[in-house]
Amino acid sequence: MKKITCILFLFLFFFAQSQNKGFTYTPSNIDSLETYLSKITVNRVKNFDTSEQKKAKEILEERRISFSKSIKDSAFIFDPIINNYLRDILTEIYHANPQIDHQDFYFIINKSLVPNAACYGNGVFAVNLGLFNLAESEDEIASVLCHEISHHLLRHNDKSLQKYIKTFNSKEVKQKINTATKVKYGRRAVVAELMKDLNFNFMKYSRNAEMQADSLGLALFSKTKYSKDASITILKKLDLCDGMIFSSQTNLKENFTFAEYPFKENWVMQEDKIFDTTESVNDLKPEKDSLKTHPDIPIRIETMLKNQKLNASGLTTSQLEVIKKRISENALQIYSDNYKLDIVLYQLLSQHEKGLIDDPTFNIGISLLLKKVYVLKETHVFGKYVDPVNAFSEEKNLNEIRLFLSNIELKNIRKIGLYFCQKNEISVKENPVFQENYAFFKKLNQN
Amino acid sequence: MKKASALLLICLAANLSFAQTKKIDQVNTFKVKNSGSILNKEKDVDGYYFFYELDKLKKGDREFAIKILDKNLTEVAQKTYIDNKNTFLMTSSFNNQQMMFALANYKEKKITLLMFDKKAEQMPAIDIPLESKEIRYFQYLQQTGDFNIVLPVENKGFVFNKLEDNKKIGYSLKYYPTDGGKAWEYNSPEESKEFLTINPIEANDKFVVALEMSKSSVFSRKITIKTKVLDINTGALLYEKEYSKKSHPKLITNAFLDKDNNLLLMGEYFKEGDNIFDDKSLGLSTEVIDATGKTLYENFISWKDDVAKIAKVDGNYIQDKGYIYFHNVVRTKTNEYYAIGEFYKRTASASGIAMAALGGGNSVTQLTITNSVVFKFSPDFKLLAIQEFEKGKSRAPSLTDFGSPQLNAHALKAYGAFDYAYTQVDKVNDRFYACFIDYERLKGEKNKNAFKTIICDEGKLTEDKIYLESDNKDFRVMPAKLGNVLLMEYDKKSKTIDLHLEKLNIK
Repeated sequence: MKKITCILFLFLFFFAQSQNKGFTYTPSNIDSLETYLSKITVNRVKNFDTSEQKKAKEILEERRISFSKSIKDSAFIFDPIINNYLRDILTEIYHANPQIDHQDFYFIINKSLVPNAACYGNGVFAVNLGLFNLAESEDEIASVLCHEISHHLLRHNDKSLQKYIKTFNSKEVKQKINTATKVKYGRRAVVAELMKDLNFNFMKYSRNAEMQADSLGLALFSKTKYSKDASITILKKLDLCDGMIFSSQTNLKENFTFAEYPFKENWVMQEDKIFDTTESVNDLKPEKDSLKTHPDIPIRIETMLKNQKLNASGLTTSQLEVIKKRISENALQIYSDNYKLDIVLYQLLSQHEKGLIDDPTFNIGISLLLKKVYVLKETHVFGKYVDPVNAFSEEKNLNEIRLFLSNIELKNIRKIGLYFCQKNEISVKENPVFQENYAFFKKLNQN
Repeated sequence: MKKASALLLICLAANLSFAQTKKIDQVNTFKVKNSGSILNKEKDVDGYYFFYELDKLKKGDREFAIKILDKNLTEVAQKTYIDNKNTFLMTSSFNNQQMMFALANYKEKKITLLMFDKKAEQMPAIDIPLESKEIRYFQYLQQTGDFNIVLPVENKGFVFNKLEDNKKIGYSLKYYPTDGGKAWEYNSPEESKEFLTINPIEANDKFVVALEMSKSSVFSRKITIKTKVLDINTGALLYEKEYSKKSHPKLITNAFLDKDNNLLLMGEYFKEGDNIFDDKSLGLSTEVIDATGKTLYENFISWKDDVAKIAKVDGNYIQDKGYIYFHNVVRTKTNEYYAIGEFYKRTASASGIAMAALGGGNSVTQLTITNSVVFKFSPDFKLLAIQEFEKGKSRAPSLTDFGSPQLNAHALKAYGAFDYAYTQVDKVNDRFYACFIDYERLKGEKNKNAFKTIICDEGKLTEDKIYLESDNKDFRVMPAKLGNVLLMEYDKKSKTIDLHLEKLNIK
């Protein structure tokens, strides 16, 4: 579905400290999974014409290796609760659409919190954790799954790859590339123009494929027990998602001001800009529209409404609530494990502000975060993990947090950490993690 | 020990979402010709530029691109520009109103000033023709490192410093306003029999301060230094102060304009009749001059008495500790001064002696550069404290066995023999960051390059250190926004570059 730069606005937080609540990143059946991936890759190559098989094999093999690496790099989670939930939805879809040959299908959960799903074209599908958070009903998730299954049934990946191989194997394109690369003067401009045309065709194909998947997806979905309206509501949510990113209040200043050590305005002072522009000025950038892989969501909704009469809406099931809670419990850990401390701080502050996390969880989380920031800065690697402020970002609250984290110095963190722990000690007195962090800051302030 | 990392920066065209063939990949792989920080007068970083060649065009022309990142590494612009193949980017500057790039083409004998307004729109380019002689001296003076080709004047304009092929060599200071003001030039006399150069070192909304050096020939050791103060709006000379062998011999290193528009000059002073290139300085001096050119205050701190006393050295400080090459002087909000330098001594060079014995023309002496040192002065320029920071020894062969060690030090500075990198002044927090790159010889482990920063915060000096060594990685350090450093990690294996800003730590 829609590729989105970021993230979660319906995000409940309960910072899980206990290991038994955590997700598993390694499948129990890694060997058979590898065998399965090899098998479906070989099968997929057979779908191509003999003349295209060599190139197709090369590309598909490369993708298989990259996918296997992603599994080993913990990009996916293997959680029985979420897997079972997904399996139940899929059972309904398959039951309502017996023509779907799902024997070789494999659904995997991507730990990304960006609401999205993907069809790899070989029978493998990925559903991001973010989609479970965004969706408000099982119906909405089922709608997305039907859309992705449609991509597979319509062989969009294979056709796209075929188109790609055909294009670059065609005499005409080969000749154009040869001519372009042999141009002595102004070669870059000629190649750029050629690439622009080729890209335009690929992107146009991709946008058409999306419309086709919407159409077939809706047809599959209509046969299920789920509310048809969900296919529209989820699209609307995905469209809105961009505008709702990091828009929650954080009250950074209130949380980090202490009687003994008040908040300093220069920690969040805006920096001067070189240019007064709202986006990067790039003489080489092609037109935006020609790069779009997906049509605009309002157009997709309009088309779907034209083709089907939709009404009624789905309801959130208690099972989805359990999944959402489970993701919430682990989300902070996922960001924290990746040292995305800016997002961790944003989530802690905004969710605490909304009353979605309790005081002890918040206090432990903040004390741990401050300790991590201190250690990363002390060893001069903080910038490797936490993005600096982006002048063009519309995520104002997150930008303010990045500014704050970037500007505070060791001597500030030492004090903030100490006074934060001192102020909040009562609510988490017995917690060993908090006590350890408190002791860390006490020791730093002794010197 | 400045590490010259030969980083090959490969920029892939951003508009390629399909990198299908090697041929296309190759066409769209560009080698960066220059990259650097965009600095203001205080050496604070406003951004970074990457200048690279995009395409070969007819008649020896090339399509170039300048990629501009802001101080937080966000790409803010990528501008294309067509010029001759021999064009290279000399320097860049930003004055809060416009961004200026000075592009030189020595074959076509010209410098082009390329400016972009706040909307990143290119302004009409300014071509400045050059003579062959001017190019030679440009190349020579640029090597010295202390030659400002462009001085930004905040919210006013830019001062461009051009050499002139006069009877001998002269100069022309060219002012280009960015605030709607008037352009002007200040030129040395065409008929002058002297070899004249100028270095604009300070400017505000009223004045430009420049140091003029005059010699009878390039190789002459007799030099006269004049401090010239010009009106920034008209280019008219307001006053000048002369320091020559006969009159107050001084080597001016720093100038400050204060809020009352008084000019403060700092440097080393010499005995009347001494030559600043050949003789040993007597100590450090400061002079405050008002807007009319009248000296309000002058002070001298001698190595022998004042410095030795504070350093608690019996006898002559220089003989005991070595000479000091002062790289910069910083003034704090409370008008205290900090002079940042490195110790150096002339020592015998074993390899030089061996080569000389074999009939080679090598120098038998060398300069041994050791610890960094910071002198602290009161507002009335009394020496208050001296603090040393340990640093490994680095050696540079003397350029000549004759002449003073100072002369050698000044000459060697141009070749990057010192470990000093740059100093940044944080006026808001009343701090400074003096940065050095040291080659640490470590016991029991591999020697390492280390980026060391002396930080002055709340009157206290501390040091921060970042090691620049790691397996399979090549590091390059660039100045960053105040209080930070930009680390460029080149992974030799994956051939990728990781750029990250890191805070300099006050312990």
